Amino acid sequence: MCAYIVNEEYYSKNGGAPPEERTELQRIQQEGVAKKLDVGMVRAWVLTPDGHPYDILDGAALAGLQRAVEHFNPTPGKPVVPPGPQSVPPPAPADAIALHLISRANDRGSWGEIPAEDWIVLTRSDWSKLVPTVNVNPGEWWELDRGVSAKILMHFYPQTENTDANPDRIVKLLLIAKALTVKDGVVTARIDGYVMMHHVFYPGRNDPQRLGAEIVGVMTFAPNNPPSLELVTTKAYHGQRWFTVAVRTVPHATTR
Amino acid sequence: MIQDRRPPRAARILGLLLGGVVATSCSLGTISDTRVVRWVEKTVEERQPPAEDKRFDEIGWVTDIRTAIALGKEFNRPIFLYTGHGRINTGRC
Repeated sequence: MCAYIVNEEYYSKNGGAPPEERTELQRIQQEGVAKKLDVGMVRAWVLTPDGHPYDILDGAALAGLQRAVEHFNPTPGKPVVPPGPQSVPPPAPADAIALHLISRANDRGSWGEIPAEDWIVLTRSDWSKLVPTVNVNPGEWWELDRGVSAKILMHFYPQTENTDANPDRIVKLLLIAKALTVKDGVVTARIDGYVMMHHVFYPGRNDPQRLGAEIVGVMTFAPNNPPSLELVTTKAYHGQRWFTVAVRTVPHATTR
Repeated sequence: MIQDRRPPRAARILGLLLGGVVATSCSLGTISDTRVVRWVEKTVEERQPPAEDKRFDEIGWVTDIRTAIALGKEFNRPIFLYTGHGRINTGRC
């Protein structure tokens, strides 16, 4: 049985974990202390089937799991919960668009090993500011709304321990669209632009590093319909690290 | 506002203001109009995580403690519980 939780949901006053969940986490930690385990906030616990601490895994996690298997001797079988994608688009209004962002530093190992993902929802009010309100012809161009652009570009940073994508980090940004083709009312436009911001690697520190990204993309839209958007970085750096970003529109579950 | 001309040169080269390493080889506008749609589409696809980077998804997870314990009791299985800052499921942690 495998579970993961997000500490911010349990420790923050505004976190989404209900009181009963918070109480359970506190109980596990208190029992762990009583058992003289190395209790902390970021931990890999092994609990008994009824939820009491058995062990906390250290760097040799695989050996720890093997010890647990030998101790509990569980009956082999299929996972209790079917595996499935753990990063999925959030529910959004039917007329909203969901953007999926992949960001990855060029280095591998440590922070560069696993790509980071973000989900960005643009409401109708948002995306309507990206597309012109009048007919466009090939060759015509317009600047995308900077507020909506910031909602997207604030997520253009590599994997870092700091995950606070605050738009106040942005120093400058620009996204310009140019209509390439108009066919049966459907406009295909290229997008060019950039973002500059400061981003701190570790949360709570006051040592932001410069971040810059050049961006190219494509937006396709028909009048009064949500656009399809794809963006990629052509060059991007944060401090001494190079990274890449890709964004694309994806289907999403609909809220009521 | 729609503009019936090329983006002003100043806007097209604002990327030069990026500074640092990017400014030394700014590439704004270097992908031609005829190539850009296919190039962007291909690049987006290439940057999707390969299966080996999504092995986290090969595990059946629950995302709260009480459900984990209820299922642990029901199926008599020990529980692996990861508690972490940020969102391990998206790599933003």
